[in-house]
Amino acid sequence: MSRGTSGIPGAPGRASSNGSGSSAGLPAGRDVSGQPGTAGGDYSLDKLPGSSADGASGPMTAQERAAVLAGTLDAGYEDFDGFILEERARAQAQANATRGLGGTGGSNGVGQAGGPAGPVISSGRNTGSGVGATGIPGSNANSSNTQVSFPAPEDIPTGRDDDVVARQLREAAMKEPDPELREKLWDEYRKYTGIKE
Amino acid sequence: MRSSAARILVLSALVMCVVACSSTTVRSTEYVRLVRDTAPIQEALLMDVGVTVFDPGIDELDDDDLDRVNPTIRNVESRYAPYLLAQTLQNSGNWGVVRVLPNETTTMDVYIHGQILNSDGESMAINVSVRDSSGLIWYTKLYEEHISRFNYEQSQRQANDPFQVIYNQIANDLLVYRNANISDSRISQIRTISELQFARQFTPELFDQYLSVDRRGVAQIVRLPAENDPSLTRIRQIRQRDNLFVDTIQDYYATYSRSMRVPYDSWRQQSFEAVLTLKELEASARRRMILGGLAVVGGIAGASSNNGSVQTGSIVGVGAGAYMVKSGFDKLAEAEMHVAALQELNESLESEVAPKMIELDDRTVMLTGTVEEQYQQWREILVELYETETGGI
Repeated sequence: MSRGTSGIPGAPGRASSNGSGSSAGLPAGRDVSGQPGTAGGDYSLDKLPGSSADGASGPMTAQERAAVLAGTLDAGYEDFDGFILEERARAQAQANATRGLGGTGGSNGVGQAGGPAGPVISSGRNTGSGVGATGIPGSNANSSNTQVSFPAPEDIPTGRDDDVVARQLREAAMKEPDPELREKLWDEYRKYTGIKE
Repeated sequence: MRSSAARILVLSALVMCVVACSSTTVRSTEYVRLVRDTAPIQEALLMDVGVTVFDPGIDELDDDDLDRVNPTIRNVESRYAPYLLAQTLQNSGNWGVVRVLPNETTTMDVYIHGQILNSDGESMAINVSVRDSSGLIWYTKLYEEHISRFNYEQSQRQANDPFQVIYNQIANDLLVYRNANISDSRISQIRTISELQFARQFTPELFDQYLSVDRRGVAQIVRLPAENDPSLTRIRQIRQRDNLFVDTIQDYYATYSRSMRVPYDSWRQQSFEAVLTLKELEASARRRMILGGLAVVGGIAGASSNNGSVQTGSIVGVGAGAYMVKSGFDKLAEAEMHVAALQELNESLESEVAPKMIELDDRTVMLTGTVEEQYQQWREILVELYETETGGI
């Protein structure tokens, strides 16, 4: 009965653009500040070419219509990815700011130094190729089902104060099969979180 | 002779009462370590876990509780505790991704629900229930922990939450249950059900046919879509984005928890001391009132004796008993003052952390609303695509 689950394929098409605009054209949505934004693309079905409301175009074949719909879907993915990337960048900046305020009980004041620039996308396992263009380098080279999870070393705390970067380092380390690389990732984690000054 | 027997009876009762009233709570400082599975787990067998925002348990509070428990703080804790539990589970390496969920609209393989029954800095009680994506309930268990001052020492607080033991126990129990009851093939099945549940929630028109629900409300796989089913491929692409959405929510919770930690820990430590004092005062008051009451009763019984010295002793006993009863009331009054101080402490924390919780909720609602609008568009397109590709068959 079970066929298991393979990785979830990413969206086809170009990598998401994390432009400087607002919510990257999310339809009838709100911008990242939470304010109502201007509508982006209009995906309503009666506006698609070949629909009954589209008097200008001639009738389309089913194949053409499916292609248009699929293209609309892909465009929606890109808009969505851009929006999420922006929102995550904003959330990450806020998390770092909170961290700077001494949220870890004053044990360290580690900022962004040395961390990856820009937003980091994880979405847990099987970070496919299509969503976003960033990620922990090397952590998702292989999205097959042979990856395993390795426990954290004894000196690593629970990570309840991890910000986004620390969490990505932690997750990458726990998924790294090479013990040397894994230890290096944990070292990075220690440095970043101030465990090892 | 009769009066001697009465005196012995009264004395025995007093001794028994003193013994009973002076029972002491033993606080164990034993640290339950987080258990990590000995063998690495294949990724295909790692189940994703969703920890939903806890029920704050406010409906369970009676009037007496409401004197000491601040409902807003409970609500704040109901978002903080699941985050700590999720972090603990993630740190164990025994699971796939572990995320805090504001609700159950996101499909995970395993769900953990919790209800906070008590949390005052000195003790914590959470009722936890676990089920999988098929709807099958794994178990329900009550976790209760009393902690000592040691847990609030700076060295401990930097490494762990004062109540980390409770989260470790929950995580360890979950691992034990999984290893004892859930076979690898069942894990694969649960993960398939999760995917189909997501697909069904998203477009029931297309995916209702693959699952059935039995009388117990447990989902079963009826059949599987073809691996190259274009609708399934698209659903997977969308699910990947839903994961990103949930990850973004995690960032919100991470920021919230971090900003909460200092004021909340400080409150818990002060509350710990206040609660201990309060409990001691109340126990002392109870002891004094019972002993005083018994002394009065014993004194009155002795007053009927023909023996003069017994009568004198009885009068002294009644007087001493009355004094003890009065001092018991004094202790209760003192306890009331501590209740008032506790309320003040609660209000102080409430004013500091409630805005953080409101900000978290607002942000979550905003993002959820925006994402849901996008999903609605995608739903329509998926159905339209399906009908176009299949000719409406």
